[in-house]
Amino acid sequence: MEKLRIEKKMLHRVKNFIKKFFISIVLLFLIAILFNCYSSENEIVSSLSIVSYGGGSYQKSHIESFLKPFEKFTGITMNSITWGAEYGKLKEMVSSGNVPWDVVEVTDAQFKRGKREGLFEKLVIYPESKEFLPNTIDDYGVANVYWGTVMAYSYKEFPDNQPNSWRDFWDIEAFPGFRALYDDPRGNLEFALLADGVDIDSLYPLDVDRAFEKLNLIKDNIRVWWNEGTQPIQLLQNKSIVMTSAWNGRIFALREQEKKIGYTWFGAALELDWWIIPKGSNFVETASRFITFSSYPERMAHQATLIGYGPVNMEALKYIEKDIQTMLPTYQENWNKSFVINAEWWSENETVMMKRWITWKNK
Amino acid sequence: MNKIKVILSLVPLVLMFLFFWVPIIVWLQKWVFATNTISFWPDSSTRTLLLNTFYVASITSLVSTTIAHPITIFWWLASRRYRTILISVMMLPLFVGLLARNYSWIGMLSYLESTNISLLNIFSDQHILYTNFSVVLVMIYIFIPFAFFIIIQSFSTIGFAELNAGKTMGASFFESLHKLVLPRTWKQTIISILFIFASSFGYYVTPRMIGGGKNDLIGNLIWRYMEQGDLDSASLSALILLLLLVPLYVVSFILIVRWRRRILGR
Amino acid sequence: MTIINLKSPRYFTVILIVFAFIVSLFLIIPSLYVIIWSFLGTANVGVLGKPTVVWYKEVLFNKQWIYAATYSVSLAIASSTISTISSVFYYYSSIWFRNHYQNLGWILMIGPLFFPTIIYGLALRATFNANNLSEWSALLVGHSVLSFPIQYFIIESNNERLNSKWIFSAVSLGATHWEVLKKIVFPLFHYPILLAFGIGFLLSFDEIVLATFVIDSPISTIPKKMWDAINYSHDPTPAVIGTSVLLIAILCFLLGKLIFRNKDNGY
Repeated sequence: MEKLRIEKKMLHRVKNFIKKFFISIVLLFLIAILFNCYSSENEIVSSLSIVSYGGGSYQKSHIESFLKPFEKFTGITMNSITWGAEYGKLKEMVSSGNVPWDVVEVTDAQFKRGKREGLFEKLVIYPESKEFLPNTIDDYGVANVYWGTVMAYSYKEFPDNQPNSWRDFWDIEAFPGFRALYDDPRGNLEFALLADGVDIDSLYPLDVDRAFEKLNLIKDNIRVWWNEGTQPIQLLQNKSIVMTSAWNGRIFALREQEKKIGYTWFGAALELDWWIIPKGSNFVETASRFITFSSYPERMAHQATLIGYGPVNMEALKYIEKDIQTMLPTYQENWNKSFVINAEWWSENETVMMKRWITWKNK
Repeated sequence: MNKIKVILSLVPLVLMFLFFWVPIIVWLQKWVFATNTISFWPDSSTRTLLLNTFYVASITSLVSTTIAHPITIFWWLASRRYRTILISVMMLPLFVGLLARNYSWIGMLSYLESTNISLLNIFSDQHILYTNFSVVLVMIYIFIPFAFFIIIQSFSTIGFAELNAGKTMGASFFESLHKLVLPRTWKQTIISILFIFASSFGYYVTPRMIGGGKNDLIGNLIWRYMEQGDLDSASLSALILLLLLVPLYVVSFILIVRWRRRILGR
Repeated sequence: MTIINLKSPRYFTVILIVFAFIVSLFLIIPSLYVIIWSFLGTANVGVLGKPTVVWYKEVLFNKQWIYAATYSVSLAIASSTISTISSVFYYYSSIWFRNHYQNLGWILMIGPLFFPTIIYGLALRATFNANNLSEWSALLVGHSVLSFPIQYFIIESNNERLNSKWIFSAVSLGATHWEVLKKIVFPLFHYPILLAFGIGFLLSFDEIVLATFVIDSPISTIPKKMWDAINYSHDPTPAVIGTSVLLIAILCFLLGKLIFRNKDNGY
């Protein structure tokens, strides 16, 4: 009886001890966190933060081609961040004065708009090469790549007669099945006008009413308005759709796999991405050095072989293999079939177009 | 000693005021009323989406609560082991995570489509994914546990003694259910409907992932405005959303206070 | 093996049980698919392949995910602690005081339940980010506020544990207010408080809306990282994380049961 009582008491003591130990660990952890997390944020501020537009293999191409070599070259710790081109975030960051980002990749339309609204710092150092494509170096930024939105389709659905233009995309009878398009009026309005017979050199200023009328004809056949870069490829592979617009880099990534997805450069929409330094950044000179470093032909060539987007420094083509060159937007044959999205027009009309787009899409 | 009691009881109220209401006031002052042109009449894109949002939110709230109510009755009547099992089933989705669950629905529905499994020919083209139906289905799936945990509040206050007392006085099981249980639980049911309605009104994760861009809700619009840099429009749309929900707030507050006074005596 | 305690008409019992079973299946199957997907998944979300642990290796041994996990866990513990303590204090005030500001308290408390989180996200951004305050503090505040009402309801739903007779007898035997709280009230509420803490932790760990509005820096929570990742990949990363969290939760639950064994476990 006595033995049982002692054993019960011991068990009770052990249980109590474990309880107290558990609680004290949690408290210690809490205290550690409160001191730790705040200081770790300070460490990040002292290194250079590079923000890529989009993640995955595109972010990797920046890390392998630009960030790692620059880190090796200068010894500065580089951080790679991704963002979804949320212009609002950038604007708000700059207006608040709290700018944790040092170099940001923006779209052409955002570059024009941001320059107008005074969101960027002037570069301190510029690339010296003379083989840059026209209008790709500015006081406030240097362009990185030309990327394209192409029309992609499933080979299995159309083994004999492949679609070749946006007219075919709109032709439900000859090419039946569901389609997908990017959930943004930019690009889609141009594709609609091309399908309606507008000449590729006379797209701008856009006849918006005509474009929406043309889009109405295909609206019921659009199964998905995709908003993630990987979606169109997945939808084609899942057989949810037969045709879609897609970013050429995603298709480039499949080039070594079995040919299931075809695409065409006819009527492809090309856009430029720019490196800029947001106003209020703490390291303007170092950021400028990074931008210049990223514009070296060897660096750009390395990026092109990884991601399939066209470098703006044509000197880089010397370092790229021929079969990869043919897949780039800036390859002459592809360039001739495509058009460049007019960033000026879009920077002025983006907000209005977006509202109209949302209303139209959800009706 | 009284001072300590008062301080202890004021701490949560002060925290809530500082952490919630102050940011709301700052937001209103900074991004809503700071703009020059304030128009409370929503533009065309907002109006279109408000209708769709109202439709989706109503169906989600009504169906989730309708499904959760009998489940709560089951919980109330069940033995202890089955109560535990049911609670675990309800809590399992919380552990797995919201994004993972949305993805699993995409995966399951894509798999069904790619294997051409006909779902009783309900849908003419056997496509469920990227439709309004799939958005509502997944939102119902997400909100059923919330409805359950809200309604369970009222059932936990009802003991079997009352039902047994009714039985001894000759009432049938359904009469007891109807006259003793439902009057004490209907208010919590209404609160559940209102809470889920309010939550799904600002929802954008599921419509973005499952909706295929064709079934946007007002939350997606606010998100878009943020991306565009149009913080003023985002805040204005959010304010319209808020104004529409204020009557909900008032009704639920009255219901909660009266229910608590009646049932809990305070 | 009794399923239903009370004697109810047979057909009603059968229908209720079948309905509960179907709804439980509806709730479980997507969660089970998540677990299956984490082991059989391919880069395409709709396609399952052969069993593999490649995705587990990619996520669990990846530095970025470990940093995100540390961030999420620390945030969840801190916010859940604050909100649990607040909800305990609030519960204390609601049972011991019948005062004129109780309705005011309800107005203050009920706000987060009915405000769409997206609005609160905008508000936090306007208050914290715009004034150079840290993101971690913004999320700490946000998550505490969001879990507070739910935790309070959980604690309050265990009201029947409090037997007023015990309190009266303790007071009649000379116990002070604080002794009653410490020795009678608080021990009865161990389990509900732990449950509330756990729910608060989960709500914070899985919270996505506030994180996407507030976080700009590279250090982010796990849901925010997953949300950013959906733009370039539909691989089973979310499934791996969901399954890992579930496993850890089951382990913690079993450990908790072992340590805090109590006859009156309630649920």
